[in-house]
Amino acid sequence: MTPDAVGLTAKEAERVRQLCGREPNDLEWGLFGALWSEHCSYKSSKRVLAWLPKEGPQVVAGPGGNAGVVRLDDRMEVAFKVESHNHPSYVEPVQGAATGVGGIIRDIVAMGARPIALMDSLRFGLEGNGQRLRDGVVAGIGGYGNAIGVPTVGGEVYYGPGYAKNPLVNVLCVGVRQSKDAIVGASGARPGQMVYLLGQATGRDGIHGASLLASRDFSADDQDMRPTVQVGDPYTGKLLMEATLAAIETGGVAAVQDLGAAGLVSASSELAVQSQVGLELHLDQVPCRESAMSGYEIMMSETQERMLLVLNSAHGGEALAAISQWGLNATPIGRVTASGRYVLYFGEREVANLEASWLVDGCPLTPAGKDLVAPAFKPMRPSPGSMEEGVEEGFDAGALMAIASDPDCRERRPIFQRYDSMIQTATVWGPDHEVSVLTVDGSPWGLALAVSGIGRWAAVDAYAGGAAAVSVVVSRLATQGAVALGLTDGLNAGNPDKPEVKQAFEQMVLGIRDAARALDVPVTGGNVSFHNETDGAAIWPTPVIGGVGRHFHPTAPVADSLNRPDVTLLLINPALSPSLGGSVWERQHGVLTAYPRVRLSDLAHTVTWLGTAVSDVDADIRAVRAVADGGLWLALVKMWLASAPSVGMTVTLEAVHAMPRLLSEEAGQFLAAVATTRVEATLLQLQSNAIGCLVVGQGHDGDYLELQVGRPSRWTRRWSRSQMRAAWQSWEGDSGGSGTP
Amino acid sequence: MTQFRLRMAVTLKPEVLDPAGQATQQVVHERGFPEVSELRIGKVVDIAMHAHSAEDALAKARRLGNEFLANPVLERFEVWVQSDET
Amino acid sequence: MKPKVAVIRFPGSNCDRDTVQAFQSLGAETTILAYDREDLEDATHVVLPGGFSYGDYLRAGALAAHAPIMQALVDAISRGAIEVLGICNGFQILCERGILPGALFANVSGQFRCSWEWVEVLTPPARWPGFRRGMRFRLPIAHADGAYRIGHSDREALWAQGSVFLRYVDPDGQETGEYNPNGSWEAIAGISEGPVMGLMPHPERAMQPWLGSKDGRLFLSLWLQEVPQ
Repeated sequence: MTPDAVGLTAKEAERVRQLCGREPNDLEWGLFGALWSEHCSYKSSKRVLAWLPKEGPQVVAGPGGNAGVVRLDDRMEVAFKVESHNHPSYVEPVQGAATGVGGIIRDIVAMGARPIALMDSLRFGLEGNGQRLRDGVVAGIGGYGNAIGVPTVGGEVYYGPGYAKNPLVNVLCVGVRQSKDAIVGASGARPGQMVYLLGQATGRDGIHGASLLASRDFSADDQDMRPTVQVGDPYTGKLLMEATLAAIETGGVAAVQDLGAAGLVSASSELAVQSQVGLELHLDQVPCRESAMSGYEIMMSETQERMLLVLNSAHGGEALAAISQWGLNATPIGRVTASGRYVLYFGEREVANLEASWLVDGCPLTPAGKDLVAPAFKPMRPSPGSMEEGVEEGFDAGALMAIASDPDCRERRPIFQRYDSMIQTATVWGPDHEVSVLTVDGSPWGLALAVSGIGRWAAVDAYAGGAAAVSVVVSRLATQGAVALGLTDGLNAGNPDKPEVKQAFEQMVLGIRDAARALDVPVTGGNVSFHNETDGAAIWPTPVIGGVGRHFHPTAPVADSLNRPDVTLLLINPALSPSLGGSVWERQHGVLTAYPRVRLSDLAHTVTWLGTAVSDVDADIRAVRAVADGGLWLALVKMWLASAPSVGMTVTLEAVHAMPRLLSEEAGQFLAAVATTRVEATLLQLQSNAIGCLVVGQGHDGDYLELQVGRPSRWTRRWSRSQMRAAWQSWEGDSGGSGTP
Repeated sequence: MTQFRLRMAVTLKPEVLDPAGQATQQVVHERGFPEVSELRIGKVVDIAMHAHSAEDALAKARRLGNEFLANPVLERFEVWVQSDET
Repeated sequence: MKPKVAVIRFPGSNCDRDTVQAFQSLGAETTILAYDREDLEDATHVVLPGGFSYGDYLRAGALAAHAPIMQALVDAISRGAIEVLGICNGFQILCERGILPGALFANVSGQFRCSWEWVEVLTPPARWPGFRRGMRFRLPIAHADGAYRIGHSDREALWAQGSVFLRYVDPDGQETGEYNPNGSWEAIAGISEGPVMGLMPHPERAMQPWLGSKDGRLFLSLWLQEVPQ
């Protein structure tokens, strides 16, 4: 075997020889090839990710482990992470998405936490086989999550041309554990302890999935290098989850690591490095599903539903008994040593002898850019046909309805109805809201969860897009008065060897950093997926951000719709000069200019104020939503459609730039409906906090939405609820047969 | 033209994990069929079509299998003629 | 006699914890019984919970129907010693075992569906007089195989025996006879025969107003024949 064949560059191969002090054998080359792949080594991103803030008094475990962990209260902790399964989902959408869900669930379980929620962030093309991919991915996510019994409580789906051949499947899993439990993860193994492999027998599934599939671009002639596709098995996954949690509960587990990309080699070397120990593994002891598997295949296999456990001598027997209660067997495959060496045997024969740290940390990293300040904002000239040239005054009712029914904006019920969002009976707010709210057993407090990452916003100015994704997530948590405890980042981009991709990636991370700092939220872990590029066409850089917030009254969420019409509609922290950059409107009109920079300090102010205001009887905020895709307009539409039939709204705006005001997607703006009797006091509060605010309308008891532009009004339009519903739920007439959006 | 009746068996490739077969095998094992050493689950598709000859019918059915009925990433298929009716 | 509720856990059950919690919140003594037992301990009430027993591979509920504990259940039913409730996958298992008539087919949409539905008591079961005709409950469904089907020859008997217990009604709670989230014959959501009741909706998920409904409290209380709390 040559270094080239396992995907190593000449420089990397030289480094391998240097570390080993000899010519590695074929198996060893293979191990390096897998772990030094982009997917496993993060060689192009590690130095960039180091920029992100990761500290905070609530942080129990930061980046680097299976998942970040933050403290919810004195007793309960929350483990959470987003992970991508983009490339496998393009090859085989159902199984690719299913195994993605299984993988992130195992990451959470490996932290000793019981998974309580899933959220997913999906991207597809609108043309071609976009719908087939989407149907498959949705079936895969549902098929796995529904069966394993973890509710899918929210998510998002967006569309763009670059995603047609590079669909994105990012899944966020959230779990809870009690603080008193010993910190479980990969770092507790001690010399003398036994190493066990638990779960599904090993087959030739997905060999080279990490090093080739997820670490290269696709081209048309890649069909033949496809490995055996991994098949998700939620049934075994459920048993594995319960068995692992039960084993941890006995106190007999010293360390856990799930098997994901690059299977056993990745899990075991990672565990050795984190525990700072040596390992001795006997590959012939690994239970195999297929006959005559080589040591190389056993180390590389990406067979799903497997977990690596190290048991301690005190309670290891109890852990094994707990595992067998769930009908699974744990097979001893090796032991922990003090030597620091990573030694593999096949029968009597030593087949590899390395140091685990060479595999895990030895890969030469790409230097990060030195420019750590936000790139200058470059406003672009409005293109012909853009809003600034078009409707300067008044509004275009047809364009507004086109926004409400756009695939990026319309209701996602046909997708989320295929997910069990209620199992575990803790979902107070599920996927029909923009922020999910869950109760947590064992805590008076609950969780607010949000996920966002709009590639369109990062297409031209990745810095702005990164900052906006964080801003939207924190804004959504703020609508609940929830305290943001931590963020997880799923970063998706094209080929990092291309300077423009690398630069955009760095700017995206800088945007995330600046927003996370300004809003005082640590980033506790995540995932990078490069090479989302087929035949030279890359995706928009897509920063999927997930956020976990402490909700102080989860059984009574702050409403996002109205029961009574006696309200005044406020746009809080409105855009100073509303821009359509990066908006749905621009995409519909065939242009895409830079998304506006979020005013981070204004947003931080507003978030602080909302934190108390939403539960302040004096402010009497009846409903609130964060503005995002589709702008103020879509926020109004969604608030109205979710409101009682006896509630109508009249929206009044200045004539000049009414359309940008309605359709600007600048994050950090909030639509709030405040009791009209209290509105003077609320406006005073805002003023004294130096938070900008526009009165944009009133509730009324007619069952219609009216838009009045100009004062006194010069243009008006009225929509009935059924008209608006037809637009927003326009998937009903679409696609035939499968009933999907 | 003759009407041919064909049967196609779509099965997972042998190297692909079959969770359904595996779980079923485990249960039949425990419930009185210990001699069953392998059990894999696939689909049977019955097809009737007009064709000039059995070869012609098979060729068309193979195209059908490749393009629609089997997922080439995961599955393979066999097809054979059950009967012909003139 | 105070009820002793046993929730059977099959490999792949995933609503077992929710179901135990729901009964405990009603004050009922509730335990979990493993599928490989051959007795029911001293349970007076047995619940087969929702989930994906054996992954729902082969057919939903088909493999669990042959679990060792099922023979004990059949025996206890024939002795009249027990009352049984099958929820979702539990209903599927009861049908697969032949304890309840009919079968649950794939939803006509071909897709899993999770949604809030209204169901209405069509025929009050003799065993549970607390359920009155026309009584409505708002309960969630979450299943891929919930379309109730029964052979032509058995349909008359189903009506004659008063087994058609629950049916779906439209979102406004109106009895249209047409509203049907999964394509069940006669919009049937649940069946009862003698001491056995099965339904696709999940009463154990409707125990608190903030979860969307607390109608499940009434439903499960009536099944326990206890005064609703």
